[in-house]
Amino acid sequence: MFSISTQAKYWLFTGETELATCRAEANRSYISSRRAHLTDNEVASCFLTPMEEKLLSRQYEVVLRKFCSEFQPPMPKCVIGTSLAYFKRFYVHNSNMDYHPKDIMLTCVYLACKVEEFYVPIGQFVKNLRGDREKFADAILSFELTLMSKLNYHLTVHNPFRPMEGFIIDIKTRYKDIQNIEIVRRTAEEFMERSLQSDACLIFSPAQIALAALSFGATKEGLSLDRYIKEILFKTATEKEAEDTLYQLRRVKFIVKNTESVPREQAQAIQKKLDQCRNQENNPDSDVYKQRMLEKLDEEEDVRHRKRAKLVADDEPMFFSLEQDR
Amino acid sequence: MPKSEESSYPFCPDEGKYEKLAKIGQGTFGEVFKARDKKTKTVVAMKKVLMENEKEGFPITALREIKILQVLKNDNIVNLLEICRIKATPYNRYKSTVYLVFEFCEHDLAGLLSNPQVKFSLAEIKKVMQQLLNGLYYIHSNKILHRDMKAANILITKAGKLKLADFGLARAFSDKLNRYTNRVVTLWYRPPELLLGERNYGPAIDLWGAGCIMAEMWTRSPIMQGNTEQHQLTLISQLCGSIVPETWPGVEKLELFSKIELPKGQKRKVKERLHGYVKDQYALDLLDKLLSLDPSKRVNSDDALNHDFFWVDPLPQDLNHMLSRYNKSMFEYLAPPRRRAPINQPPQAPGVVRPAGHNPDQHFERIF
Repeated sequence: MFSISTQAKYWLFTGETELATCRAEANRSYISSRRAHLTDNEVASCFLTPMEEKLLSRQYEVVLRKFCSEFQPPMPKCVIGTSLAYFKRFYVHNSNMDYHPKDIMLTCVYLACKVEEFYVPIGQFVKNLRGDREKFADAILSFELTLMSKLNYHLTVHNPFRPMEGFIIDIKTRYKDIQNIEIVRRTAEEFMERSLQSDACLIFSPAQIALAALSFGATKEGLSLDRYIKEILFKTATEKEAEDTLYQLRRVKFIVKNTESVPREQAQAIQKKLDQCRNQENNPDSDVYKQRMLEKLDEEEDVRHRKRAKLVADDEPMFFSLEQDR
Repeated sequence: MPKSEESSYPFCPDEGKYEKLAKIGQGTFGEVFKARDKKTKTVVAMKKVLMENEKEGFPITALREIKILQVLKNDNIVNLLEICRIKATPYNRYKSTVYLVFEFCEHDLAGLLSNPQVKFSLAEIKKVMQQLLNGLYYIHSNKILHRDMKAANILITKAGKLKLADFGLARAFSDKLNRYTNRVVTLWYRPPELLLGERNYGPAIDLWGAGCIMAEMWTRSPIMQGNTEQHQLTLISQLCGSIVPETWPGVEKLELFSKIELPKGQKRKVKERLHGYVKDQYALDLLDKLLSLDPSKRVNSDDALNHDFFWVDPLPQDLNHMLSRYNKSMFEYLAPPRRRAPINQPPQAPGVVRPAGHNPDQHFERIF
């Protein structure tokens, strides 16, 4: 149930302003840990600004969706919705400079596959990527725990897809004014697709997004759901509650409408800047990171050696007899 | 575990929040420790998520357990307090570990049953079963299957509150046609439909386990301790009667029905066999309904809770008084092994070779 979910409790923000404050804080905190004695001007030229971070995230959300839509085997919508929700939640409190969106993006999709019971083994998962697949797999697995803990282990995501089906059934059964709600479906689904590209899922409940999508689609067809909302859906509620909902739906539509795409050149410039200021400790290609992985491997090798040594010791008599037989 | 290891290093170095007190169990995907919150002094149980052998990252079973327990909040379900991660640092060689932190329960049912001094009255057994079925009713109405019912996964606090625990094998179910793995549930508690290869199963699998546990309240050790799946089905047939389409329509369609050897001509003797232990007629009747071979005829948790067993004298009685006599925790992990096979001791069929070193209490595939 959404109303008692961790999503309702911890991952709904009041609006763009609150989100911008959180993201600016993540940006500030990363910069302050690394700026040393740089002047403000130098900081501005070296590090990403909150605005640049937002554009970069948007750009990677586009990449994420493209990756998902081309994924083999084809993935259910809820996996895409959950992946994007994880990605957005992650960058509310973390800077793109600390964790590169290309690593986090893939990890979000991998985790969402598991959580949504669309299980794809890692080997098959990375077959959807071009390049050094083993390296991708290592990166995904090494960021998985970080992602989970940054999400506070709140893994269940309520997507707007099911509520939309629910509303369609309800309109069919209870609202006789609209006979053919199905004609609205395509536009409504497009609206939901676009909403995935916005902050809507961090501000509104999935039911609000679904209803806004249907209401948007209805308007395009010259229909209106206002009476359905006021007289059927909110029949037992107060006038004010119904009005509030209509107001929220307008807000959803506004936020979804205002998601613009990032020009390619701009995105590339930001990425270039990111290469200079990113946290090398979280960069699988950096020397610091590789060094750390080597230490870890050594440790595992040690353990394996010890285990093997123990096995040999336990099995000693048999081991010898085998040797003699040969 | 050597003592020095137990107390030498603190938990959660990044938070320094918990200190380990003792190992109390070996869960399905990791060890379980008793620990204490250093600040509040609250005692908790910490379950370590084993990551060493995972090629696929964080185990999907642990993910399900987290997801499920964040939703399930009920008096008869173990309460997940938080998730604690030891961050990767140079001090632990960049290995991070995740612990699920639960409220601490003093006993588990297997531990209590293995202690001959702990005696349950009929009214107390009713209370245990009522709480157990209540927990199952709650999870099933939330569309969750437990899939690992056994006495060791039934926790009991010293105040006598029963909690279903270990959702490491649990998953959500739907009423549609499904293909789940049938390699779930510890062998001795595994229902016949799973043993015969059913993959589209439902809540009834947990009620079979509830029946096995209920009988165990009197017999004090698991009633059917098979060594192999074949052996388990033999034991089930000897207790519940031959598995045939006449009593279980549709059983012939199950994948393994024709591939496995099923004893023929066995009469159903649930009540007769258990009568030596269970004198109460209502108890025997409920047991008979829980241990129904055909899952579609097996009683569901709602109807079981409405069974006369719980509503005729003696009425269910709280366990706190009885348990107040014991100030030591009783866990199966810490208890000596229980006596084997009190009611089913069929002679071993000649020619059946048991795999050496086979542990019947093990789990198989952990995924799906």
